[in-house]
Amino acid sequence: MTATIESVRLLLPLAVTLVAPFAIWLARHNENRREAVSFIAAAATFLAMLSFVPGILEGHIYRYTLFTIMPGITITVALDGLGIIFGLIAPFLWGFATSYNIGYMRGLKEHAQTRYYFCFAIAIFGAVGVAMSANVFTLYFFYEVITVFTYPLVAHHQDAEGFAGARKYLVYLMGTSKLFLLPAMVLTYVLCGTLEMNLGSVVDGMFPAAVVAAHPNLVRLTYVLYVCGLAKAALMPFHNWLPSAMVAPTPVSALLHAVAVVKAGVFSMSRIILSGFGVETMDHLGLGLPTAYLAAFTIVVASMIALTKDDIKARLAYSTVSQLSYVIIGVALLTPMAVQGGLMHIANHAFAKITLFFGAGAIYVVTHQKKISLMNGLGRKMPWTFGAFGLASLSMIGMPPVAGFVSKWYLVNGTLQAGQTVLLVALLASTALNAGYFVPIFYRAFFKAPVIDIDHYKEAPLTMVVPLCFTALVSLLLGFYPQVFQDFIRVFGNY
Amino acid sequence: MATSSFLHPSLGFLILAVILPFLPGRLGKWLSLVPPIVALWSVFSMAPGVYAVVPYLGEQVILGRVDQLSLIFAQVFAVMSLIGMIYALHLDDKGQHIAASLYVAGSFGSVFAGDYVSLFVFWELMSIGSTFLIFLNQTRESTLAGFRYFLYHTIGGLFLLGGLLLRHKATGSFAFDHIPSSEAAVYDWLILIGFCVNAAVVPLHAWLPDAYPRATIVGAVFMCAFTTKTAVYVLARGFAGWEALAVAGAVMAVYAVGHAIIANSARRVLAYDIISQVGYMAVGVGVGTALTLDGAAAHAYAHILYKSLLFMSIGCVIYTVGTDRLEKLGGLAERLPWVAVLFTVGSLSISGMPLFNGFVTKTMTIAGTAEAHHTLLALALEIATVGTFIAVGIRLPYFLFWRKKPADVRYDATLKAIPWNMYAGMTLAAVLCIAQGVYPDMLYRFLPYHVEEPFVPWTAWHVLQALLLLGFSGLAVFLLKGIVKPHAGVNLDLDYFYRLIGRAVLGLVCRPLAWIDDRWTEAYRVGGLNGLMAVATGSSWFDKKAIDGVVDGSACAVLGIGRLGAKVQNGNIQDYLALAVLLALLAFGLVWYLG
Amino acid sequence: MSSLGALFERLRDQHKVWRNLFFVVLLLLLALNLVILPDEAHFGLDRFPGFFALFGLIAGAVLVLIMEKIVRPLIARKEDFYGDL
Repeated sequence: MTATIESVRLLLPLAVTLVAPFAIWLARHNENRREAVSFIAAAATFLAMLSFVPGILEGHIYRYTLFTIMPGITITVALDGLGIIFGLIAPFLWGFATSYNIGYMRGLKEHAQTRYYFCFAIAIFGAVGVAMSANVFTLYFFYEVITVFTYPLVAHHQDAEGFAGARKYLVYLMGTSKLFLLPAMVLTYVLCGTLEMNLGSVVDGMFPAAVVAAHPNLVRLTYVLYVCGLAKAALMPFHNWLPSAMVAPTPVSALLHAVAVVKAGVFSMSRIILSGFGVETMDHLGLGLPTAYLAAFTIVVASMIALTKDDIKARLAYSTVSQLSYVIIGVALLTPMAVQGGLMHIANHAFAKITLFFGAGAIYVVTHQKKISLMNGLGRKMPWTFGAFGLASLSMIGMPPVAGFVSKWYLVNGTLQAGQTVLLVALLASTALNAGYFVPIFYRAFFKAPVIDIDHYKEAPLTMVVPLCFTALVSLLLGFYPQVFQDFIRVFGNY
Repeated sequence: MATSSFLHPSLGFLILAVILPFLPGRLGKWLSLVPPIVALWSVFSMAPGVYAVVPYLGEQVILGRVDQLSLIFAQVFAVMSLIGMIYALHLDDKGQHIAASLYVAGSFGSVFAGDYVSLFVFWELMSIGSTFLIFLNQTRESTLAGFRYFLYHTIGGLFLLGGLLLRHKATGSFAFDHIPSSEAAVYDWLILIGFCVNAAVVPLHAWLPDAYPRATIVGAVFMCAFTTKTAVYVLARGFAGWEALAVAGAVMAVYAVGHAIIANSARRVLAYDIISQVGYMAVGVGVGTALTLDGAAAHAYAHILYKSLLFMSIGCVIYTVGTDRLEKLGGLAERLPWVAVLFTVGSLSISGMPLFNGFVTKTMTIAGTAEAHHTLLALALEIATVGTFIAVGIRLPYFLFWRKKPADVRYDATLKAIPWNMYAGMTLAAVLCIAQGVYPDMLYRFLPYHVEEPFVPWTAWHVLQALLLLGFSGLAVFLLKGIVKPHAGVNLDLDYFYRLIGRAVLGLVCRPLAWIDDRWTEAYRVGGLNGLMAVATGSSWFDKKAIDGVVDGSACAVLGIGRLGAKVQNGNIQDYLALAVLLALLAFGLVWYLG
Repeated sequence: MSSLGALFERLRDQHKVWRNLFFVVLLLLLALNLVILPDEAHFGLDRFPGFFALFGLIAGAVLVLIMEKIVRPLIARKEDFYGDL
């Protein structure tokens, strides 16, 4: 029997991730103790999340209201099948990112490391909060926390380029959320009388049928505002902040692109579409298909742009823009297989993309190279880095048996369930495009003669190589055991 | 009915691929002979049936569909994997063993796949394994060729994927069985295209002569056997009796043999000849009678044996002399006599000379085609036979081995010694070629389809016809010997257009899109950013009281803004919060007015 | 040089002998074709003696001539035409 369970335990992950930054600040004089705090906090958060898994697999939903601001506007946290996916990934990858951060920051002797780890921890706090949001206000709050506290991370280098990129990042994300997301939230409150999302069912959503029938265009407007406001999902044309954020140190990019920021974006989009509007309303108002087509456009165009980029982080940035829309296209198609594929891709993409960015960062730490055309022959010096990079690339391309194939399989079947052959072609075309821009990185590294002097380069430090090999391995394992995340999706919203 | 066990031949190869990186060199090399032997034993001991049904991606996927058709292909694959691994024993480069193992595993998997899902998975595995066999040649030429090969095969795989998905949507099943040509739907054509890419059907064929001559020596030996013959198998399984296939086969057979006659590198001649021979098989499948299908299967079997023999001998030449360009070679018969002999066995087999296995298979295919009243197709195949003999039976061996070494060709004083295992592999293949030629029943008994009047190759007429055809083609070459010379350089093929399309997409589509995207970023920065800043500053008189009130409750926000304030231009965040409240009020107003 | 290699060299020196042997064999095959004929002609004309001899000769000559004289001049390019090397 499924039930909604009140549980104070839900505050545990939030408390840990909130206290961690302070503990980091307190331990700032001892490097190792400071990093240990991050590790311990990541482990504690992950274990706290894990404790909810048995209940969630039985179909229960946990919730807890922190406080009420106005009638209908509360800070309420909850965990269900969808939330736990993001809730598990964020702290899990935080742990690996911390190990990687150590190698990167110390390897490059970066300044202001305490501020860095501090903001990193709060960004995770925001991510965990987004994962656990039960209503739009809480979602909005934690969504903005992520934006605000990743700003110092993006601007970390504090040079002119860094500030320019970071300002673009902040204003873009804040601008879209203030201009669009905030009004969307307001409209939702006015239309529904509450901001509580319907976590129990993906069919009904939170908009009562009467309201949808009486004010269809207003509800449509609300939806459009949400889509424009959730720029973290990098749907075109709201994607430019992502390549601009490349000025950040690479572990930040890894965090941004795999763990916290973009995942918060697509997660929020999925949450709004499935628990906010629900399949009924989306269908009735004809909202799903246009979203899916926009996502398909993003997928193809971003891949094509990626083909032209020589800077490895730029190429990965556009790849992320493209891959995020896989999630959106899946959720927007509203058929069972498509939604499964889209939500699974949240996890699959996270592991593969973080591996790719870890790889790019490792390359930078060792060689200070960012241009792919100069990376010839490097694979023989850094075999583990490029090997993991290759495996993660296969996942992005969608080759069996790696994880990316499984989510792609469900997505393409989903497009057929919805009868959309054009979208099927877009997804298949993106496979070829992905191969076109990932494979050259790999074959250049292993099979081409060096163009710069690479003799003195060695493999990256272990603190970097171990995490990236591990996340690559997870990509492979998720391909063989997709049930890990499939089970959560199955119990989500009685789908 | 007694249940028989089923050991999937792929298993041994997959295990080998995984453990090889961790084994010391010598042990690894000898261990590489184990999976082929296990595969041979497995193939000869398995009984027809359906085995290994496993759940995957929500479907029940069949990994072990064993019947006469899959058995004969599996058998020759097992034999070939043994020959290939023996030939590769001298290699220190483990990467090639691993790539070859993955490749062979993919082939076995494809042959035994009972449904499209498992077929697709193994199809892609083959693609990955063979790509590495090209990459591992480690020259600039081969690296670029490998990338083109991978991209091309990925696209081919996407046609297969699209087709099988659409088929599933229409029929509800992923089962991989015969598709009657009368019931062909769009998705069946998509699947056919996917299969035809691997079968190198003209005009989708140009990847083969592009990639095979650039693979490693051992890599080319493996590749010539598996990709195209797996494609023949799936065509025989799904598309038997499709007339379009038969016509395409005839076109392939003649087109490719023409290129083979004028190609200037030995491996390219052989690569084109693969396409030509697969054309015979495609005709056999396309005509679709029991005799021609048997002919196609038999031809595939024999082709693997003699083609690998040919590639192995040329591989030896490359190994010792360093090149396979015809204008740079000659007179090798006295330097590499045994290679010359083994090569001759292969070239006579491929030409269809009696006493060798090509004779007993080629005649069956052509006879079957003619008997089914496809006279023009049979004629095309006879022309292709003439061409093959000219290209591979005469021109290639003459310029490589039998002519006197021209004055401008130089070799090192002592040529690198050829390892014993390469001779062993070649000898094994040669022995089988001759054995099947002399005693055709050892091949015929495994043929999948029952024919009322079994074909008898050893009749006086068949022998005479073959000898006449070959003998007088030889006369033609003799009379025209002045113009059959090799020339330095390459001959263009349709890959000219593939490359053109690739460059066009990049230049006409991708770069303009990137340019537009950059302009959009600029426009946003100039217009949007500055505009927003202006409005925000204008509304900041709004902020102090309201913002403090909302924010006071949460300690985090105060702390955050305080911290942030130190890093950011002062007042910026509060400007935005002010703008936020302004917009919220505007939104309320709009709703109240409209709703 | 191995003994087999030496043998081949000696045999090559005798190439005129081989050429003459070749012509003799061809004549012999033509003679046999007068006696041995197919039971069912696949192409109609092949029931006549000399069909396959003529076919082989003409098809071979036409193939070689078309490819070497017409096709090759159109499609032959330098080794490094694509700039891959």
